[in-house]
Order: sequence, then C-alpha cells, then structure tokens
Amino acid sequence: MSEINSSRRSFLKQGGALSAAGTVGAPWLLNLSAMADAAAATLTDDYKALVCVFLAGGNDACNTILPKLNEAPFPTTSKRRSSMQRYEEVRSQIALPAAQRALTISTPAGQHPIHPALQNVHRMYGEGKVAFVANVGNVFGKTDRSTPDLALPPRLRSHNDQQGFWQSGRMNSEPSGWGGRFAQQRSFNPTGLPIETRSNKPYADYFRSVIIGSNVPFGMGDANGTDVVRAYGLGAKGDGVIPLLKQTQDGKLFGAASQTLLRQVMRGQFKAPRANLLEQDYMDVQARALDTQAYLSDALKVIPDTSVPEDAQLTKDLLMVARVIRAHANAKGRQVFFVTLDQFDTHGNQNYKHPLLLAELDTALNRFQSALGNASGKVVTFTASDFGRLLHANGDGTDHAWGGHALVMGDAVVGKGGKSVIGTIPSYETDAAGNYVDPQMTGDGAMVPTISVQSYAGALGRWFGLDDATLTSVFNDGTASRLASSVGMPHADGAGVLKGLL
Amino acid sequence: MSHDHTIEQSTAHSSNQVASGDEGEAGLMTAGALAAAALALTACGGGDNNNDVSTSAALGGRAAPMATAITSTWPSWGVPDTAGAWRMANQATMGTTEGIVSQIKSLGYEAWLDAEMAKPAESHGHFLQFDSHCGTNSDGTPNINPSYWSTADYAKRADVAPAPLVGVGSIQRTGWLRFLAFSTWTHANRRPDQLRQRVVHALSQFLVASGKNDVVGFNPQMLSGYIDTLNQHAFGDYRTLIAAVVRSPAMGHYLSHFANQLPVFDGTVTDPTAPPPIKRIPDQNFGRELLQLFTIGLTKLSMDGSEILVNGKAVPTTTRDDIIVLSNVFTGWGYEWRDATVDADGTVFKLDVPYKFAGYYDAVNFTPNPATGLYHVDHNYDGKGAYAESPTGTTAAKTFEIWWMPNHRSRRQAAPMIGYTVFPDPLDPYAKAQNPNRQPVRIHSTDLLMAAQLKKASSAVTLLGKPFSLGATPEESMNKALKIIFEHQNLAPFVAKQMIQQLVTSNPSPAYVQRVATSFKTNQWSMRALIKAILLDNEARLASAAASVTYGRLREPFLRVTALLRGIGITNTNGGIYPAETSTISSDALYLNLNNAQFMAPSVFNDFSPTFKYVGGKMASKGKVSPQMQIATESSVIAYANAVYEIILRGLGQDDDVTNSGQSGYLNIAALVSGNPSASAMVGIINSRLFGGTMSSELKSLTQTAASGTAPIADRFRSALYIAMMSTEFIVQK
Repeated sequence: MSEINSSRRSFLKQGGALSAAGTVGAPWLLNLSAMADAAAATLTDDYKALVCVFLAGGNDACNTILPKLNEAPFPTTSKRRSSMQRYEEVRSQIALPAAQRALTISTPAGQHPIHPALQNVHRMYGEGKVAFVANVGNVFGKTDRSTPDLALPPRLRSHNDQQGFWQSGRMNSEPSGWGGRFAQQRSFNPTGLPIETRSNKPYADYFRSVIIGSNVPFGMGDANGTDVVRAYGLGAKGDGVIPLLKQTQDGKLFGAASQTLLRQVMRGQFKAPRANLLEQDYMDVQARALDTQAYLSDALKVIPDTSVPEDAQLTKDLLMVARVIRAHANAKGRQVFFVTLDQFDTHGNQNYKHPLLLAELDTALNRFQSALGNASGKVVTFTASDFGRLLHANGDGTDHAWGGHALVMGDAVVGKGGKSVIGTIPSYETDAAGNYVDPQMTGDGAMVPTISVQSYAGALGRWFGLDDATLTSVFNDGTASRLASSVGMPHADGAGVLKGLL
Repeated sequence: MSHDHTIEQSTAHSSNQVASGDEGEAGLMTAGALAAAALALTACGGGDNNNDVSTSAALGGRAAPMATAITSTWPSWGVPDTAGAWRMANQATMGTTEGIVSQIKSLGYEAWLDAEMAKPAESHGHFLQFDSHCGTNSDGTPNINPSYWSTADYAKRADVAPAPLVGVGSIQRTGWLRFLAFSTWTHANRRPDQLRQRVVHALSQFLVASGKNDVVGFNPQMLSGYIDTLNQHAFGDYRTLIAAVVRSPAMGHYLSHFANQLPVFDGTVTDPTAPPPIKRIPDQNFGRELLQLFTIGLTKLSMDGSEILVNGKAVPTTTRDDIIVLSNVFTGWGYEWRDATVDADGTVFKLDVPYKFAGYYDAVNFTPNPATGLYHVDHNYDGKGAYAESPTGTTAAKTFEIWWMPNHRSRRQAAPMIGYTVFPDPLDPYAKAQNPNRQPVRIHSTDLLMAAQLKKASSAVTLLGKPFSLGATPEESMNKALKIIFEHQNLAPFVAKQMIQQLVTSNPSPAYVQRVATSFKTNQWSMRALIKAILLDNEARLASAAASVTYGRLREPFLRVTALLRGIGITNTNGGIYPAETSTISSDALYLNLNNAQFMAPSVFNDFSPTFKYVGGKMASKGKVSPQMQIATESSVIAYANAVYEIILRGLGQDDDVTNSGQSGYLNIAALVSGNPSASAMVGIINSRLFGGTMSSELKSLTQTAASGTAPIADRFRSALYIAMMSTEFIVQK
C-alpha cells in the first residue's frame, strides 16, 4: 500500500499515478479525485464547492449498513454468533428483516446490505458517484476498545460536544469550523461577478460559506484570520431571498414614513453610534442582509423553483444550495455549504422514524445531484453526524455511540463495485464467551472509529485544493501531537502513515 | 409503589385559579368553563406518589408553599426610578407595561418580587386551554366535555386538520400544535403572574421539551401538562421541580425514559462481574441530558461558573458508567393506569399501555393491522392480536382515529407518570379484568442487573463517585439519584449561570455567578432565592453595570413580540392570541416568521446555545457569547422585519376560535391615537410604553420623523412604532 504513502505532492507530479493507485485499492482520498480534477487540486482559478449534509442527532449506522451477508451462522448452543446473528439478536425489534436486505454494497469482506430507503444512493453507488466511508468518528489516532480513557477525546456520546467537534475539527470545539476555514483560503475572482461598491469585492464573497438554517460552527472561518469568513445564513423559501417589506404597496411604511428610515435604523447609521456590542453585531447582520438582497435575488434566478413537497425540508434546502452553486459555478472561487437533516436521535420509535429520515436523505441527494446540472463535476457532497448509535437496542430505539458510516457523493468520486467502500465495517461477531471479536467494538455495542474526522475532512480538503500545510493549520488546535495522530490517521487497515490520507 | 394518592387527588383541583384581572386583563376562561373542565380532569395533576411533603403541596394547583425562610444575600434597594423599574420589568416579565413600572416604583424592587411570587400558580391552565380548543365544536361553541370531537366535527375542521402523514417534516407541524401556540402566546401575554411566566420561559430554554419531536408533537397536550408543571414549581425548589420534570410524560417521550425497562441478558445473571452477554440495554437518553443540561453540566465548575482546569484541561463531571447507572434508575415510568375512557359507542379506550413494555407498537405509531389495514388498539395489555378496529370500522376512518385518539389519552398524558416496578400494575383492576392470567413482570431495574451491565460487584457501583444502589421503586431510585446529583458542586453555579443568562445578561461576571450560586445553594435550591439573588444583584440593578458594552441579552424574537403586544396593548381583551407556531421562517404567513417559539426547539439543545459565539462579530472578538445570535441569520433578520410589520398592521393571526372573531394580537392603536396626539406626543407614548422613557435622543428623532407627515394618524403611529421596534435599543435588553 505504498500508494497511501505517496503524498499528494508526488501523486500530482506523476500523472499516471491515479490509475495505478486505483488498481490496487488506494486510500479513498485518491478515489475521490477524478482524473481531470487531480491536476487542479490546488487553489487555482477554477470553481469547487463542498456540501455538508449534517444528520443531526446521530444517525444509526448499524441500520444504514448491515452486517455482511452469507456468513455461516453459529449453532446457538454456545454464545458464539456471526455478525448478522448478533445484529438480529441484540436489535430484536429494530433489526431490518431479511426481506429488506436487497440493496447491497461490496467490500473485500463480502456483500453488505444497506438500508432499503437508500435506493437512489445505491444507484449512484453503482454509477461510481457515491462512496461509503465506514466507521469514521472522533478519535486521536489509532484507537480501539482497549485504549485507556485518558487517550480518548473528551465528552464522547454527548450531542452538542460531538457536533461541535465534528464541525470545528479542533478538539477545543472552537466557534469556527473547518468548512469556514476551507473557504477562507480562497476568495472569489472578481472577473464577471458584480462588485459591491463599498468593499470593492464581489458580492459572491458573502457566499463563500452558506448555512441553511441557524448559525453553526462549520461554516464560520477562523476569527484570527485576516479575511474572516462568516457564514451567510440563507432561508430556503420561494425565490430564496426574503425581500424586505415586499408587502408594502408604495414603498412607504404603513403609507406614512419612508423606508429609508427603516434601512437607516437596521444598518445602524446613527450620528451617535450605538455603544453596545450586541446591538452592533445585530445591526451588522442586518446590514449584510440588506447589502446582498438585490444580488442574491438576481443570482438565484438561475434555476426556477421546482415543485417540492412542503415538508421535504432537506430537498428544499439542497435545491437552494444547487441554485447558489449554479449562480457561481462559472466563476472562479470556492464555496462551502451546510445543510441539516434533523431528528436522527432515535432513542425510541426507530422503526417509524429512521426509514423516513433515510428516505428523505435519499430523495434530497438525488434531486440535488440532478439539479446541479453541468456543475455536478465541481461539487462534492458528504454526510456527517454527531455519532453512530449503539448496536444494542434499548427496546424500540438506540442510544448514543461513537463511530458511524458516512457517504460522499459527486462526479469526482470514482470507483465502482469493490472500490467505493472506504475503511472497514466492524464485525459484530462474538466469541464463545459472548464478547466481540473485533477490537473496534466496545462491550456495549459502539464502534470505535478507524477513520478520524480530520482524515475524512482532510481528504475532502485536498480535493478542494488545499495543500498539506494549509490543512495542518486548519485542524491545528495547538496540540501538535494530537494533530499528528488524528490528522494523519490511516484508514482501517492500518497501512497508511501520517498524512497518508491528506 | 404507592397508590394512596387517590384521596389527595380528589382535593387537588379544588382551588382552580380563575385568571384574575390584572392591569385590566380579563381572565383566560370563564369561571364556568374552568369548573367544567376541572370536573373533566380528575386524573390530571395528581400522581404525586412520593412522600416528599413539599412536592405534594406544590402539585395539584395549589399555590406553591412559602419556602422556609430565605436567607437574603442581596443588597437592599431604595425607591426605584422609572428607568430602573422598567429595567427590572424587562428582566422579570414577558413584556413591560406602564402598570408594572408603576407597581415596581411604588412597592420597591424586592417587595414587587415578593408580590409576584405570592400570586398563585394557575392550575392546569395550559392543559385546559389546549383542551378547550380540542373541544370547540364546529359551530364555535365551547365543548370541553367530552374532550374529543366526533369524527364528523373533526372533518369539518379542515383549517386545523393536520397535514397528511408524508415525509418527516409533517411530523413536526400539525394543526394540534396550533392549540399549544394559542395557549403559550395567550399565557405569555395575558397572565397576571408575569414573573412566573418569565421564569417558566427561562426554564423552558434549558429544560427543553419540544413539539418538534414526533410523539410529543402529535400529542401536544403532553406539552401543555409540562408547561403547567413548570408553572407550578417555578417558585418552589429546583430539586422538586426536577423530580416533576422526570415524571412529565412530555419529557418521558422527548428524552425517552417513558416505558424504559431493565437490561436483558442472554442468560441468568449470577455473578455481576462475569455476566452473560447483554442483549438489551436501558435507554440512556434522559439520564445523560439530566446531568448534562438540567443539573451539573459536563465539566467541573467553580462556584463562579468557571471551568476548573487541571494541567490546563477541563475535568469531566461524569463517566460512562454514571450514564449507565442513570439509565437503570430511570426504568419503569409510564402513564398512570386509571381513567380508562369509555367512548360513546361503548368502546373502552385503554390506549396508554406503555408500548415499549408490551414490546410492540400500538396505534400511536401508525402501524396498521396487516390483515385489515386498520389501525389497532391494544385492549388486552398483551401486545399481541386483539386488534380493535377504528371506531367506524372503515378504512377511511383510520386517519381520524389517529388524530383524535390523543384526546382520549390527553388527561394522563398531561398528568405525572407513575413509576412501575412491575407491569401491569397488580392493583390495576382493568388489567386484571381484561387478562386475569397475565403475570406482572418486573420492568424497573435491579441492583444485580445494573451491576452486571457495569460488570462490577453491586457494592462497587457508584454514581458521581458516591456509592449507589437502586431503591425498591422507580420513585425511590429517582430520589436516591437526585440526592447525589444535587450534592454535586456544579449544581449551584451551573443552574445559576443559565438563569442569569436567561433573565439578565448573556455574559455575567464570575463574581455575579458566584453570588447567585451561593444564595441558591444556601437556600436549598429555593427558586425564590435564586430569582431574587439574580434580580436584586448589583450587576442586574445598577445602571453603571448595564453601561458596559458587552452587557445585556439579545431578546429572542418571541420575547420581543410579547413585549410589543403587552406594552402597546391589544384589542381583544377577552380573547387569546391564536397564531400557528412561529418557529420557522419558511411559512407563507409573514407574521409567523419569527424563527422562534416556546416549546418548539429543534432539539434538546434549544434554538440557541448558551455558549454560542458569533464568529466575526464584536462580542466574540472580546471572548463573549451571544446565544441568540445563533438564530439571527441574514435571512431570519429580514423575515423578522417583515413579521413585525405584519403584526403591527394586522395582528398575530386568525383568532377563529374565540367568540369575538377577528384578528388576535391586534394592537390597540386606535385607543392610543384617539386624542389626535402630535408626532412628538406619539413618540412620548412609544417611549413610555416600550422604553420606560429611555429612548436615545436620536431614536426619538427618527421615530418622530416617522410619525410626521400627512398620512392618517394611526398609520403614522404604526410607522413610528415600527421604527422603534426595529431599533436595537429595543431588541437588546440591557
């Protein structure tokens, strides 16, 4: 597996390396990079977008990818169980029945069913546009269930801490995130884009990082940087822009005062500026919103609204992302996006909720990929989630665990069949004493991640065009040894070395 | 398990408080309606089967008992001036009125707080108001008993019918939630016990239960019961309040300790240190968030709220084993079993079998009978077969069954849960009658099983570092666990800091936190002491403290709008305010685009985090948090501007369930301009009502410009009011 060792630099120098790497099951980073993109894997004058679909609450990875099929069951006279036997036993009420195991993906270990709601995802997997990343999560370097607590990240299994960690990519859970820091590396080239007069920068720069929904760390840039990226918070309704006071007939407030007064107040254009910083921050957001209304409204005409069910929030959100992307994809620059699908915290009623959630994810991803049109080669979409959930059911639901499975979607993802599952899906097999054989399974049924969040993010960053030094700074939280162990973490088979995935 | 609370229950509702007029506000419901509703509600609100006297007294709608004498730790204050009184009212109510400012000025700060704390808690106010809507006939006449609609009635109510069950989003918004929105908005605006309303609002920001959860959202009466519970305990003690939160069905479903059961092993456990493989574990959700969000947080704190660092690292408060212990503690909770409802056709609806116990999904999960396609009801507690078809027996009716079933269930879904050691309860005559042969099985965990899950000897089990064993019942186990949790050093500073952030300022000084935490602890978790220590502190009261550039809190949009409605006054003084839920900005109805509502948080972490820092902003550059900035996005601030415009123009939604039909939450501007005030006089009115006279001269000038001109006077007033509302002087509470 020397290909893992071959850093991006040497890989890029050798034009033929990609195919060579591909033939021997290279680390997934390489698989992500289409040939055409590989040569452009720097911050040169092109366009790329990364889209994070956050499955908030902790997606149940055990029902997203199932244990491998066709493994001989063990006689139940002992405690020894195959993965599937164990799965069915400890998930009695919520195990997917055999009839729902028709969609499968291939790994060197065998065929694994995926959740039947993921039909479009499965089709795109077959087309080589979707890769699965197994057992990714928050760890410092190589870790298994015997790793002492002191060497583990803090506050595992806590929603907000693990969400914060996933998004910030730094162990100190900064208010900024790796998406924002990625975007910070590259502003828009002004050619052909409308320029804001006051800043002499393209309006598009407001949209280097876009969050659909409330402010979260992922899209926020480094506060200490010279060019701080603040995520633009976008709604996903109607024409995408919520126009200010569209409802007024004559442009006057209640037929009385001029709207100019309102804009003055919202922007905080006072002779005696307000001293309070909360007030200043709020006025600043209002000013950003007013600055960009006309531009965004114009830009989003790129794709007319298509019919979306009122309740299909993720589809709506992703179609909005597609419109923003298509408004900018012919320019030169970088964008990151963050959308959320909520309600994955399936402690109860999982049989009802989880299929609906995965179906919504599946539909939304499919429609998004189509809506990208000819920009599809410039966009990589990936999932993240707080954590996976315990294999052991609590009755009708599952509890917080650790590692989970993610998926990456885009034309830049290459590989079909056996090449599109990165990492190793843990085995649930138990020994004669009833203990898990795989050291990546804890006694209570959590997967111990074999791919760190930074490795995962770093691979995406390299596709985005960031070099190793930049990526190191993006993930550096001041603890060099931790950075080295987590960023450089190899994927499951342990063959990689530091930066192998970067 | 004790069932001797039946007697207590029969008296628990004898003192229903009719919302009394205050500041000219009429009661929420007529006395007759309340009495009728109370009769229909004999099972609600009791269920207090622990022997804790203060708990018993605080439940059941009686005024919370006066706590034992509170040790004052705060300064005495002289006669407040107008600005000072207005500032306190901003911190302590859902919206300042001129009347409250006068009261504070005449009574003084502390005496006004005492007077507010002496106002009795309303009994089941949210539940009754919610239920009264469920029971409104299609012709508009109130129909409180029976507490459900006929299918025919329901069919006519297309305006409130829930969306069809498609996709995940539909889980989140149903017509039923409108009834809850009616209740929360109306209470916030109209209840006379304003301090209590504000404290409940504050508590709701971190003791989160939300209608965006599917089960809770489909059964909002659970939330109405939960809000009533918070109301009852707002001036009691925090320990009792948390115990009531544990028992709340809303929380039971939201954080899933409802019907949680003991662990199951693949074989008999003899030696807990070497148990057979575990097959099913108890649900860990509630135990985890109880520690993390409701009581002590994740890292050890000093009394001043700052993290204790050892070698530069934060020290965790909990271990994974602590969570496992609590997952065993909170096993056995389910609805109370009495109060089976008999439908008109004689069908007995015993729908509240904790379905996890039975190991299958009943109709609440929308699982049709595979044979008939009809939704089924488990009449027999046996979790198998015995399908009862929906009442009319037709496929078309199944949808209705789903929707109106909650009304059959509503009483117990608002009443405290019961801790079952075994299930079904051997004392339950209904269960016995239905299935005499069914043997009760243990569902509350045992020390042996808990130890086996931990692979430790029972004697080695600890909770937060202290030896721990379960009690004989879920109730006893809960009390033993809460005792240890409340001994933790974090509890006082953790709760104190959050409450300060909710009431006064997002970035309290460590010394302020320490003073409040100390008072809270000294006074044995007295909420009265906590509130007084917060609101009577120098940092809350002194104008010089408020002058700091990082002082104050960005008001969440819900509080901005309640402040507007209360400050200016609304026309429908006898009615309520009836918007749909306001928690998103994607609604077509402009006035609903507040991106914020009560009890509609997207997750247990609320709409915004108390630790959120807005990167790139000036607060963050000073290392300060600004929690509400988390929901202030480029889209939401514009949506908010539009919403406020609509509210000033048209009110806050269609008031179609109140007799005096018309718009609800419609500002009574006509009354304010009837004397044909000059532009500067209009500014004076707005300044007095919304700013306590503290408007900056520049804002006065801008609003006066807005109030000038030749347009009709009411429009000029609206224009000025809008400018004032949109100013950050109003938006940021300082």
